[in-house]
Amino acid sequence: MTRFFVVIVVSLLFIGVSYAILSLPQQAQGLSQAVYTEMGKSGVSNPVTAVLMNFRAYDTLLEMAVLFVALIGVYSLSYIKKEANLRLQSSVLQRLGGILVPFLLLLSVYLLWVGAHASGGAFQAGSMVSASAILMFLSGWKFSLFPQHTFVRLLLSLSLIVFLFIAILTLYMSKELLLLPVKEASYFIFILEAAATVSIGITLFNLFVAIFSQQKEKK
Amino acid sequence: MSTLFVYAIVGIGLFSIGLYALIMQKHLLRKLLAINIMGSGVFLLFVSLSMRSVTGVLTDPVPSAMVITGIVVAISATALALGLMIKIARKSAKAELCNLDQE
Amino acid sequence: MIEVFLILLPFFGGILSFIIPKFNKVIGLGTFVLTLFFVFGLGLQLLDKGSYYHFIGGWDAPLGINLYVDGLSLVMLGLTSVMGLSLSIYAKKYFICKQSLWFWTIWLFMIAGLNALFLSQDIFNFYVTLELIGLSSVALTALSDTKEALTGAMRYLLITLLGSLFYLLGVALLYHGFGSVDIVILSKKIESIPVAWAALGLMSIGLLLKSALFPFHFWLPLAHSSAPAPISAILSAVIIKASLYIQLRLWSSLFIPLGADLYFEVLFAFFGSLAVIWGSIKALVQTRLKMLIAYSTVAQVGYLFIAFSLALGGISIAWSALVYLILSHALAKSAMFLVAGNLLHFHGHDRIIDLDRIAQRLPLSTTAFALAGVSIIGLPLSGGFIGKWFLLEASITKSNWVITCTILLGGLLATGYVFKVLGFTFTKTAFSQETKNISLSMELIPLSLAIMAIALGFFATPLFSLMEIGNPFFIIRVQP
Repeated sequence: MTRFFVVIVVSLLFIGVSYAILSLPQQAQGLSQAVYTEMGKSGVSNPVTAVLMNFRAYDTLLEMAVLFVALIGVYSLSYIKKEANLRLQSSVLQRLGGILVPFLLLLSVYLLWVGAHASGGAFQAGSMVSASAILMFLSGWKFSLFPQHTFVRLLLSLSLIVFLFIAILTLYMSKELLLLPVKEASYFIFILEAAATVSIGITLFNLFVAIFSQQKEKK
Repeated sequence: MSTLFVYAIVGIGLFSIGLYALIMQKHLLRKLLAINIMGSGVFLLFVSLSMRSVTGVLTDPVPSAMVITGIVVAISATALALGLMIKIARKSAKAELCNLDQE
Repeated sequence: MIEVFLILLPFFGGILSFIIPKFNKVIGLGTFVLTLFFVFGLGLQLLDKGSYYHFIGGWDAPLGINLYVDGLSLVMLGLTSVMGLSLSIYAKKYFICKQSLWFWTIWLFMIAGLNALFLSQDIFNFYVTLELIGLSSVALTALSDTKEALTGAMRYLLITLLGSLFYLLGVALLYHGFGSVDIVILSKKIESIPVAWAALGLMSIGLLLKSALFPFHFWLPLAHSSAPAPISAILSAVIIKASLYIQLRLWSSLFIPLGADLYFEVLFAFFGSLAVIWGSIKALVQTRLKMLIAYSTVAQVGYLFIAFSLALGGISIAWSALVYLILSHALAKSAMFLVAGNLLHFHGHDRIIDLDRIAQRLPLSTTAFALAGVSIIGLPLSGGFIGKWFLLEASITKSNWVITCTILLGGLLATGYVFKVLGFTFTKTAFSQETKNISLSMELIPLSLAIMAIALGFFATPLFSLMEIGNPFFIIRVQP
């Protein structure tokens, strides 16, 4: 009975929204005209990066805050054991990790750099960093990226700190939040993206470990 | 009707399927997957409709940027939900929502 | 320029308390005191200059994101910072060491998200702030670490994510239909085509889920009652109003020109009235105090939507009633939740029958509860009275007698459940109960919140003139 009712409601939703979509005009510009006329002032040549890091940088600041809150939320649910028995015992993994990790890190730097003029950017690079950190962690390398250390806490909040610092700086210079000066915009964007890469990478890694270690403890 | 809207309709389809699964499935992991499928549907619709640009002008980049923001938000929410789910599973020995409030 | 510090400061405080957890209480309280000062400064500036925009990044609307400050946002920002400071003082004593390690960071980020939401003028930005608020309130709800709290938090998380996705789908449709996400630009471009109607429906479903209007209220009682007391207070006081605030903004500039108000007027009035009756009756039969207060929130959300419906019907006094009900409910309800937290701490339980001479042993808390109850019922001279009085006036102007009767009946039922609790504060239980001491500040904070809820009744005129800055409900005035 419930199933029947739910099917009806969901299909009505599908039909209604589809009808609305199909009634849209075939051609529309959206904001592309506005973006491409202002691209020259944005400091980068990849339009998506320009929107993310300059035109709508404030959204990106809030987005980093959301990621940060999720991490702290997961911490508040669980407590990471420093030496949890999480390592996978495999010699293949160790060998492969030795080859893959430098390659992945290099790739993440490339992704970060290429983001200025083609597809790529901070989030993609950060995911690469976290992937290599997870690989290292699982294959049993001795390294510690956990929030017990003040330094790691600094790294975790690095992108927010840099964002806030640039926000204050731009406020001081121009009385507008995050108004990047046209000439130096590319440097500002690169600093923001580099910091975001580090923070995203370590945050994703810590999220993985926090959730993963909780699961193992159950046994 | 052109092929332009196919992706958008598929997006709405994903959204509807996700909504159905979210309501019907009991297990929390499935509910989470359902939410993520719904999210993918919204993102698909959001970016695909930006292809409707006038010839000669490139695709509208604003929806892509918004979708990247949305993806990060979705990842954060999923991570928090997974942590919460495992904790619930450890407290009550099953990863489902029990009816505590029905006296 | 002051307004951006309301967003940056809590972020900064949150990060600082994450990096130096040793001083997190000092950092947290310091940030809230500073934020309150900045709100004062913002108020003065607003009185001086009137409403204004802040172009973030120097890009104007279609490309960039605009912040907008007017009387309505000022009132909500003021409410947030007052609640934030007083709940922080309470939370400083309430949380045990293990919980307070991460509490302050999440708490400060949540306040930053709320401030960002009340300043925003961009429907996609609303989505990001909603998620920031949602995730942090879920994490804070789960802090009490009981089975109820975890289940409540999970249900809340699923609902809030679902609501956000519905809302985001609406944003996507509006963007592709009209080529902008800025409210002002959209309000000029919007016309009655299917996409606009679909967006209206989807966004309304999403936001109503989050503000827990009657058929969607099912997640609220458990989450609000099992969270730690200061979190219950902020959830009932400000968080559910955040999504209501977005609806106010959307309706007053986007959706009224669509001509949809007629349907939603009936819808909101119908479900609002049901919420008042259902929530009050459920509150009356509860055996646990925090559950009772949570169901009372369900009823109060009903009042808010009745006011909304009357306002959509073109009665301008209903907008004032709505804002006034938001303020007085926030103050009174948070006082009630904090008293419940005190009792929970004092006895170790919150069964209403076993309150055991609380009136003599915790007179300050009992007074706070009684005063807050006066405002919730809407007895004369309290803040709640002004709100309900305007609401009654609006419903009589509209000669909608069903709503008038519902408001009166809701008041009677509220009297019932408040006095049910107050009655048991004097009785003695047959068995003796162990009690724990409660620090003075934990008693004084709810008392001062309750006194503020009463005092709202005396400052109606200045508050209304403050709200009117920038004329947030301008479209209503234009209509005959």
